[in-house]
Amino acid sequence: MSTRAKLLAMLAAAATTALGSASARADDADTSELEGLLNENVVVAASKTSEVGTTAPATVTTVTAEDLRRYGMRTLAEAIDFLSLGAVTSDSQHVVDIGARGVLIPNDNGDHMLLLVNGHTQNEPLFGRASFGRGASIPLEMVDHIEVILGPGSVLYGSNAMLGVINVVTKRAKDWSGVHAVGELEPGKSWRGLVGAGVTFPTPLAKDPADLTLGVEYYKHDGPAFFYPYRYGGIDGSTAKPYRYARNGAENGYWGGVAKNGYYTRLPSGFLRLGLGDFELNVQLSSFDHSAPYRSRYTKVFQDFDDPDSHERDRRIGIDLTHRARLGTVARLTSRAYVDGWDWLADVNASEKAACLGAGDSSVNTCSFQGRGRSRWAGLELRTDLDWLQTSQLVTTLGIDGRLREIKSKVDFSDFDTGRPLQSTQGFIDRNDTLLGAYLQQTILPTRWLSFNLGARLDKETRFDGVVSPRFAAAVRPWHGGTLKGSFAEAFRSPAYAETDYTSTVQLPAGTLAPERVRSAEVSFEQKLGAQRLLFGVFRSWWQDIVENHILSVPEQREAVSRGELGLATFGVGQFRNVSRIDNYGLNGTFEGTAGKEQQLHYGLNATAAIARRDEVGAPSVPLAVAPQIFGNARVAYDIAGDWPTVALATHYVGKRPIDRAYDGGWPSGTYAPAQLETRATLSGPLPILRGLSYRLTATYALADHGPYVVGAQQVYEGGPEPSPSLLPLDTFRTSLGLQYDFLP
Amino acid sequence: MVDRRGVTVGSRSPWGRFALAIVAVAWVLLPPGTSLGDEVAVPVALQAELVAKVASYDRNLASRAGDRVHILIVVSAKSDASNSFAKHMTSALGGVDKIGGLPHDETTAVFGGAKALADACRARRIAILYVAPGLGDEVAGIRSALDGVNVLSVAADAADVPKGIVLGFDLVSGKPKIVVQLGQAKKQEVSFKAELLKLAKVYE
Repeated sequence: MSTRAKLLAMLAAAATTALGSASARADDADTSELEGLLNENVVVAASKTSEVGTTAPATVTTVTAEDLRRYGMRTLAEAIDFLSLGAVTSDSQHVVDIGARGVLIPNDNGDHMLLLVNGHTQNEPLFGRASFGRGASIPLEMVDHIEVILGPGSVLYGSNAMLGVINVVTKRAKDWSGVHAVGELEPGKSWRGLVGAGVTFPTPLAKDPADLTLGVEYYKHDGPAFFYPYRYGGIDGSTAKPYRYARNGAENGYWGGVAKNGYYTRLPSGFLRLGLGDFELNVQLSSFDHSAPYRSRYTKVFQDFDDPDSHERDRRIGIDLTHRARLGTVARLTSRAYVDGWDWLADVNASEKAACLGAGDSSVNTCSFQGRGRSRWAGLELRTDLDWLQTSQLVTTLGIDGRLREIKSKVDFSDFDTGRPLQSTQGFIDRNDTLLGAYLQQTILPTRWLSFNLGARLDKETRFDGVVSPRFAAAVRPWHGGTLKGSFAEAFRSPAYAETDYTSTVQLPAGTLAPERVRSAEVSFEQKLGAQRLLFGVFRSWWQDIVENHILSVPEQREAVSRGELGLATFGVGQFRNVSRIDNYGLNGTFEGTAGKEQQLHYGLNATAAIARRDEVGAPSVPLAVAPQIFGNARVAYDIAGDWPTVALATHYVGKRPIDRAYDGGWPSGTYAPAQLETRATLSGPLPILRGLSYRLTATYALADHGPYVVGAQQVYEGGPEPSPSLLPLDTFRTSLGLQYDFLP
Repeated sequence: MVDRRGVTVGSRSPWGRFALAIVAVAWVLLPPGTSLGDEVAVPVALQAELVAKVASYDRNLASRAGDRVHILIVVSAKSDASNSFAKHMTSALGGVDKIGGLPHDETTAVFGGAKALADACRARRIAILYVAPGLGDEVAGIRSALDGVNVLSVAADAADVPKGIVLGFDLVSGKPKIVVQLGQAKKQEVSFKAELLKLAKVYE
């Protein structure tokens, strides 16, 4: 028998077994059909309406609070990697990159994925930044569920929703009642503490009791102290001596060693959700201060090794007030007012004379780059849902979203020791703008087995002409438990202000930048077999006008000098341009379910295989850097009855992928990061010694010890004995112990 | 200030004016209309599928219903949400072939007092009584009146279950959850199988 025939036979046997199992269970009049209904996801973000995930106009994964606890998830990024379909993250220590279905754009600050918390946009306008790692600043114990919606979502949300939309929904008081204290420790690496509460209480302002959840969390991490292999960086052209890579280091040209000080996070955060009658108030606060010990290809081209004073801090406040009202039997009106503030600080210190020459004075021992920025925005969204037949069979949604924004930033260079400015302020941005979006969505359910979702949104902002983002989706339920879905959607991203407006002696004005666009088509089929769900889908997307910082060639520099845009031709002058296109296609699938009389056994498998290639005029088509083409996850957990623990195992796989400098580093070898298989075992349950006390113990092991980011002074190969770059070291074994005390009045 | 496309952009922060505009617009647009607090968490179509399935785990359904399951949806005359729910639920249940292996029909009635409701359940041999949103304040009275009445009461809003409705569907972690008031179930001669109770949040 050929290999192909064997494979087909195995698949047939597996399908027969699964179907037979489901059928036998139904015949036994057990609860599998009911469990299937109870496993149905109810999602909101796909169409801004509460609906079942099966027929929602996109591929949706719901990560539940139980799964976050059961599988020992500690960040949004971990939840995405271990539990979701189609999305994947990659942590460079400086920033957590996020991608989906084979497309990931390194160091994009998360601005191709729209992140919402209770429907409130997190992406800010200076960088488009949204944090998917610790910086997301939402205590996971307060999360009710996470909706991961794949594919373009601008039809309802406007800019940034190119890869998809991730909506974090927090708990209400009924699901987090009482007072809660959580402590979690990664020995020698990190700890966090959370205090929170969920209460309902009567007020004279509304008929129903007020519903309040709040939490205050502090997270601190130091290390681990990774060893970065020593690399010789050569001779500093401005001194004719070897480079110096640390403030108190020797001028010996060597970069590397054990980084004991420069890898840390300090993160206080708070979250409040208050429901009062028809009003709901959400308030978020956080200050995310973090540092990584190595220089980055992108924003930290020069940085002393293991320097704790080189750090970045994002502070955020978000206030969102929503009011919902019914206008007669047909119409509902949702009004949402929001105010956000965000500020950013980046201090980067360099002791290379060449860096300080660029900063304005090569005579200083250490020069400092000080980036400062802030953005504030406020807006109002009004949405009306018209349920013409009062049966959800014909619903029209109309919405407008107006936003005023203020964006500021600047960059200074100074002598680290004295604080003396080395040159005048650069990169000055001071802008106010207006953003207006209007959307229309029509859902039509002509029969019980057929549904349509059609919509479009027009976005207009000060910098750009209007952008239209349509979506057409249809779902057919041809037989019991089966759903066939298809959709076409477009999305866009307004370039961040750091791309359109940032200029310096080595950064030319961007000129005319068009918004990035993506068109996507997908078809999926889902079949429910009792408490099990099987989904298979294929997708294709076309990205255009991708904004990149194009490094000018020598002739381009000469032209810029002749036009007076550049003082003199120098190395590494950049200009943000609409540079490239991405052609992406692939398939993904899910198999998940529960088993046991009390749904004690939980399991799931998500897999994605995708091809994504970057095309640029005059350059060869190449796979995307850092973006995995094969990735997925698998999980299994068993809830043992009584005070026994829940035992869970989750693993996620990321295939071999090009490193961030695979194409511009000139490295003769070592341009691919190894495949990664990370597995986490979790034990959790109540501690019988005290009512209300519970524990969670995790152990995580990663097979690969290096990630896809080049570290060290040698970012590009310029000859020498090392033909391969140093790659980001990873923590291969981690353990954590968490305790939670729930005081229930 | 003029940007590079020649578009005039503001140079002064308009925050104060904008905040005032938000308040003004909100004041005008927020209507005195009925509360949306009466909306249900679990989509109505899913509730219909769930109640049809859960009812088959009631050992007394067949004897209570006879040859046909009569479903009464009781609504509040004061609540638009209540009336919309009834219309939607009637439509959704219309798509369910059988409940507990029996054909079924649905009627809607405006709540006119707990005793009258109990009498109607007895007289019309109602097997399932669906309590629409907007009747939260009446649940205590409905519970008392239904003591001894052989009927499965179902709450559109799961918050009404602890107060005395036998069955409801809550939304927890984005998934539906069955909620059962076991004490009231016994008083209304509803006897759920153990397999169902293992999947439910049970109030004694």
